[in-house]
Amino acid sequence: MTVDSDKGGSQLAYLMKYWEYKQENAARLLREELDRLGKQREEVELKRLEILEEHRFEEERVGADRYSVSVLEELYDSYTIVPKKKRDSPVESNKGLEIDAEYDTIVYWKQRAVILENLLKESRQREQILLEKLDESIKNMEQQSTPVEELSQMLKRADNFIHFILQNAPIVLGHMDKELRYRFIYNHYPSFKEEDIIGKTDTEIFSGAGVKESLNFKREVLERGLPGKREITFETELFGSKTFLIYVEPVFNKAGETIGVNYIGMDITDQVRKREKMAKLREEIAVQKAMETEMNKTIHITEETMRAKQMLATMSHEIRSPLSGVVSMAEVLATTRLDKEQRQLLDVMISSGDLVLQLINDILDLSKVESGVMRLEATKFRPREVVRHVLQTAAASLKKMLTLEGYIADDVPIEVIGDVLRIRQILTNLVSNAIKFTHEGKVGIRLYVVPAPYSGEEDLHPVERFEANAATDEKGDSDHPYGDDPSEAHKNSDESGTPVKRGESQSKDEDRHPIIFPTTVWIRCDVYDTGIGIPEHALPTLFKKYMQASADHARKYGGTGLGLAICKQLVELMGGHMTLSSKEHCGSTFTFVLPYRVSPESDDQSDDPDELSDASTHHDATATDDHTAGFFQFQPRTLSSSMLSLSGESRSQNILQNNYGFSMPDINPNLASLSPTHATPKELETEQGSHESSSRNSGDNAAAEISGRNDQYVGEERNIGENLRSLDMEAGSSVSGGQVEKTLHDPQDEHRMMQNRDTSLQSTASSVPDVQTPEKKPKILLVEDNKINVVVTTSMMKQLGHRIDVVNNGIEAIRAVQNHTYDLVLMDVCMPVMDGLQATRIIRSCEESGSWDAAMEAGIDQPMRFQDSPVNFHYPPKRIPIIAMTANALSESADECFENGMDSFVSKPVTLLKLKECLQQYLP
Amino acid sequence: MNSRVVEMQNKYAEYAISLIAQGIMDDQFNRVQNMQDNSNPNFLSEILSSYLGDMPKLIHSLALDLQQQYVDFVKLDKTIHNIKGSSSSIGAICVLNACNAFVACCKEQDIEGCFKCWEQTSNAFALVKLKLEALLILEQQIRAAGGIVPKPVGY
Repeated sequence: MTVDSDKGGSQLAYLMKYWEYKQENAARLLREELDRLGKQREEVELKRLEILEEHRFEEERVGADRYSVSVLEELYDSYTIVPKKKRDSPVESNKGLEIDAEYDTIVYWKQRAVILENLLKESRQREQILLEKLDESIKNMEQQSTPVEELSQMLKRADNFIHFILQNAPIVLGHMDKELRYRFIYNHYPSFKEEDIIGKTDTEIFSGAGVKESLNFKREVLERGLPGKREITFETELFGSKTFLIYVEPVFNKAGETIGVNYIGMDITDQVRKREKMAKLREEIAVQKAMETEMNKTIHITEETMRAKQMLATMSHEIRSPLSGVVSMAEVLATTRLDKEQRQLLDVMISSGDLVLQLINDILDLSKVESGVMRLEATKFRPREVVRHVLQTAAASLKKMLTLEGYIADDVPIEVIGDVLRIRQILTNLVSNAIKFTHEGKVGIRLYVVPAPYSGEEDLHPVERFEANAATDEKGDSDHPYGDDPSEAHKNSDESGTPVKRGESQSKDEDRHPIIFPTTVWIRCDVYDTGIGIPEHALPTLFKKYMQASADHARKYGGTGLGLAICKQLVELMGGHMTLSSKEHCGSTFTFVLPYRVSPESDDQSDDPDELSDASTHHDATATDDHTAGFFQFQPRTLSSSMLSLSGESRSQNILQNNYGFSMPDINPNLASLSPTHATPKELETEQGSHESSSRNSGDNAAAEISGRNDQYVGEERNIGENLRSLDMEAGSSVSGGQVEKTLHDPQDEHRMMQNRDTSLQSTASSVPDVQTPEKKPKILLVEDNKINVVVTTSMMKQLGHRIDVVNNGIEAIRAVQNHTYDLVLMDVCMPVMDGLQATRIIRSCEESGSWDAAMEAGIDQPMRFQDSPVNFHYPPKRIPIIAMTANALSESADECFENGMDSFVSKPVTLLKLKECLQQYLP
Repeated sequence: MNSRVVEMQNKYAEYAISLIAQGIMDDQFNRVQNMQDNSNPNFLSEILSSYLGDMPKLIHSLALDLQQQYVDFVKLDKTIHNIKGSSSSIGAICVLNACNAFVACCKEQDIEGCFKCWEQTSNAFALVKLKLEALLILEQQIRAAGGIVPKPVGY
């Protein structure tokens, strides 16, 4: 392999170079050695030359005695070179000095020649040795390592190094040839023997997901000739699911052609798993965050919406209260004597007020339906009676020459279960709407059973013909001038609040039997008229809020534009649907279909208040039996005479009827005698009589007492309860002045008053206890912040023959106890400034310790001097009975009352009986 | 006696009974009616007007409190308590009932429930107001005609 591949070649070349370098090095060393030896020889020659020179000098000195001529010197030098070579090292020459023969004798020269000869010989010998050594070393050198050996050694070392590093590395190394067959593989944890792999391709070795991909990748690298990295997940039977990071690089031959690929693979399954987990986590976090923000947004929006709706409801409510006050007052005003112009103005005022009231009611209704607050009630009711009642009510206030009729199919059950109030509201709304837009002809309601679930498509119904006939029949009737009367609408929408209806729903609630097999019946209800109709283009927007058919209509007919929207929403709320069909100038038909449950036991139901009014209307209905009557008709002529059986000719009667649902037709003259009326004529007479006689006492009332009592305290109360006091002053100011002294009225007066009452009020006087001797009246303190409770309790105590002092909170109570002796304290628990429990604790602690320290600690100033209180500090001589008055609010319980030192408690509302029992128990 | 007065008196009595029969008012209302006597001829109208005048403020303050970001249930409870006290004193049972539910919601700190209860309370009061105002007008008419306002027996 190393021979074939380019890289291998270069590697070999490198090794070769390295060897060559080493050889060169060796040669250089040898040469250096040679040089050294040469130098030595030169030195030796130099020495010899010196010796020779010395001798020549000696000879010269001997021969010429003169320093030689310089011209000849060079000649001489060259001449002497040759023989020099034959001479030996200077060391020997120095020996010449040691010749003990006489100088310049023949012996001397002979001896000297011999010595020099010896030296020369020695020198030659050494030279010989050196030469031999040189030869030897050259030979040695030649014998030293061959390049192959060196190479293999190096390779071995590299191999060891690689093995050392790769020992535990989770790496697979491999080389593949052009056909991607393994030529070499290194795998630390081999699952195959080398023989199983070498010469095979990936696909031949194992199979599974990822194998193809890796092969393709390698092929790609092979083709493109560029190295690449890739992560490949294998899913093989061999080693399961594992992810490898693979590095593949192409291998080129010397000609630059790819001959295969090197391949390094590393198992990164765990890392990938971790990475994926991280990614997933990050993703989850991101999703969660997104959800959170979304949720926050939703919550915010919901809260905002809720707040807005609540705000609307609150606002509407807030507007409604004062407005109803305005309207009521206007109506009261209408009962007074007014001239014609004033009455007209007042009428406008009232009708405008009514209109706004209705608008607000509608908004409230709508927001109730929309916010899902509106709850439906399931009550048993008789559809026939509902229809009749609605028509009857409409007829009562009808100011046009219209015939109102109701038609109920025979298959409509006598009794069904549904939310009668809402159904009535819808019917009333639709009927009043129909009346509003109909100037002649008739308005009617038709009920019949339809199969469930009804598709809601308007179909051709016999009524259409009927209507057409009716329209032609009544053609001759005069056109009524009243275009619009808001009070009419108001009355109808207020219908839900009429006492009669409430009564009905209530009684039905009570009578609700457990229904054993309720079945559902779908009843379709048409409200038709022969009115102006609705142009086709206006149909789609008709049920929308605040939408009216056109601005013209709005001007002409008024109304809020909410009625139909409410009807539709109510119908849908009850699980039905509403449609309409109309033809301009001919009339409209509003249809709604609703499911009702049918109760199996629907025979006796005689307590329906509607029936109470039957007597007055029997002669109007064409059918005599109300339970099964299928047709009602109210003719315009019969209106005034029979509809308003009690009709006062005055406006006031109408007002009541219109605005308070005090529906006149429902009040039967017979009823008064049948019902348990309290004021029998005789009683009334006596009462009236006494009324006259007692009118001089009219100033004396509870409010006066409170204000009077409070007046005493005004001076001392600057710092606390200012507002409360002012509230009471308000109450006090409603009565005329000059009553303050009443609080200090003489007992005789009181006694006389009592007697008065005893004689004049036989019916109620029975509850008045035996009046104690006026001189020794027990003193009672009432601690109560609620004005109304104060008034009620005060008057009850008065009826019981007691006068009481009233304070408004705990601190005032303590002050009162400090300054007066009371025989009994009635203490409210929940009060501002200081509650009843704390006040009781302080009073008790004072009774035990005999000092008012506790009260001072609580921040109550020293008691002021009172005119009727001789001592500044009044120490209660004994334990005052303190009776709690509770309404079971969160913060109060009977146990708490007892724990705080109260003796007993009276639950609210306070009644005469309760007070009487209490007084009997705690007053001597 | 004037037949119209008798008629109105009958109507008044019947209306008063109907209030109780419908569960709008309770026995306490009869007692309150009975507290009106010669020494207190305007008792009923005064106490009812005072009630009708006070309640809207309280109901409004409830609404304001409910709309706070952090509803103070203790304060709410106190206001409801106040309403309860007044309503039970005049016998407005339907307001009282709504208030009881309201108190329960307060106890559980159920804001949603509180909103519903507020609505019920306010509706109940609206109904009571409507009825009582009608009654008061009737009473006024009877008085104006020189009649005496009838009272329930047995209280």
